Amino acid sequence: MIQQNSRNGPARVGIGGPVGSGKTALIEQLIPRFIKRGNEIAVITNDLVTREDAKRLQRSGLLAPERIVAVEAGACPHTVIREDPTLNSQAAENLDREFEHLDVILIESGGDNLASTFSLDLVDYWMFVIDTSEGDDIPRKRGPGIVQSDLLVINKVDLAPFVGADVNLMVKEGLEVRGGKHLVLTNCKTGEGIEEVANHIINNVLFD
Amino acid sequence: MIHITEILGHVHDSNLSGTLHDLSHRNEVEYIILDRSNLLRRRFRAKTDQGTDCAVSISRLAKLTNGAVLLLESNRAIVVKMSEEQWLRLRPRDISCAIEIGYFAGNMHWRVKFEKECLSIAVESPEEIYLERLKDFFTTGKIRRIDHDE
Ligand SMILES: Nc1nc2c(ncn2[C@@H]2O[C@H](COP(=O)(O)OP(=O)(O)OP(=O)(O)O)[C@@H](O)[C@H]2O)c(=O)[nH]1
Ligand SMILES: [Mg+2]
Repeated sequence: MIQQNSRNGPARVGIGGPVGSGKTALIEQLIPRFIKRGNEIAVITNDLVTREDAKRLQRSGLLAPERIVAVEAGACPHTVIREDPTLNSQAAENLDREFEHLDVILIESGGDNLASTFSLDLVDYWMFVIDTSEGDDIPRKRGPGIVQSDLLVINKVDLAPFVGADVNLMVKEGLEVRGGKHLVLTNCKTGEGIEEVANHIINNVLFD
Repeated sequence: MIHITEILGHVHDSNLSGTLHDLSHRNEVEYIILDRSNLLRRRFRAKTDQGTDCAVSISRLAKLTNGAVLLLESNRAIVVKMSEEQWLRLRPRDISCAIEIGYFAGNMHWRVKFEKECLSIAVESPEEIYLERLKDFFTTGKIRRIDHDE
C-alpha cells in the first residue's frame, strides 16, 4: 500500500480558510487517524511572520517535531499558496527527500479571506475550512475559496446554537454555490465529521 | 480502479497514433475529460467517459495536456481531453468603461483575453457568479454581453 502511494512522491493536501476557523485543530484531528491507518505524514504550516502553528503542533506530541516545518509567508498568506508557491513546494520537496516513505503532506495556509485559493501546482487536493460562528451567510457569499475548493469543511457545528447560525441553511447554500461538490460538517473539539474528511482525502489522493 | 503513474506520450506521436486509431475504430479509446484548471493536477481520481475509475499520480515534473495518452493496451486506451473553454465576451460602451471593467476584472483575478474591442473573461466557476459580480456594469450600460460576432 505504502509503496503504491509513495510512487511519484507523497500526496499534498492544502488546508485554507479564514483566521481561526479551525485549520490547525483539523490537522490535529487528522494526524492520529492517518497514523492509525499506517500512513506516513508530515505537515507544513504557513504563518505571517511567526511559527506559532508549527510550534503548537510540535508541542502537541502528535507527530515527531522534525515532520512539522514552518514557512513564513511574510506578506499576504495567499501569495505563497497561489501566486508563487515556491517556498511551500521546496518545503514539500525537502520533506519528501528527508522522509522517503511519506504518503501525505498537509499544508496549512495562514488565515486569510474568502478569496484565497491554492495553486494546483502546489497541492493535489485542497479544502477550505469555515466555521459556523462566522455567520451562516458565508457560503452564499461565494468566495472563491468556498466555490473552488475540493472539499468545504464547515467547522464548529457545536457553536451554531450559541451564535444563532442555521447549519442546515449553510449546507443547502454551500451545496448550491459549489454545484453539488462535497462538504462536511465538523467539530474539531470532539472529532465529529473528521472520519469523513479523512475518507475524502484517502479516496481522492491516497487511493486505497 | 486503474493506477496511472506516467504519461506515455501524445495522441499525435507517431509511435502511438496508429494503435490509437485502430482502438478508436473499435470504440476502445476512453477519455478523461478535464477543464483547463484541472489539467494542472498531478494526483487525482477520475472516471473516464465510459465509467472506468482511474487513480492518477504522475511525476511532479510532468504536465497533463489535451491529448496526453495515459494508458495503451491491446483493447483499451485512456486519453486526456480538455473540455471546451467558456468565455464571457463583453463590449464596453466607451474608453472610460473599458478602463473600469479592465481594472475590475484584474482585481477579481479573472483570466481574460483581449479581442478587438471586447474583453473576454474565462468562465471557470458557475457563470452566474460572474454575472452577479458584473451586475452594476450591466445595469448601468457600461458593458454589453456579446454572444456572437457583432
Ligand atoms: N468550539 C469549537 N472550537 C473550535 C473548533 N475547532 C477549533 N476551535 C477553536 O477555535 C480556535 C481557533 O482554532 P485554530 O485551529 O487555531 O484555527 P486556525 O484556523 O488554525 O487559526 P489561524 O491559523 O490562526 O488562522 C481555537 O481556540 C480552537 O480551540 C470546534 O469545532 N469547536
Ligand atoms: Mg492555524
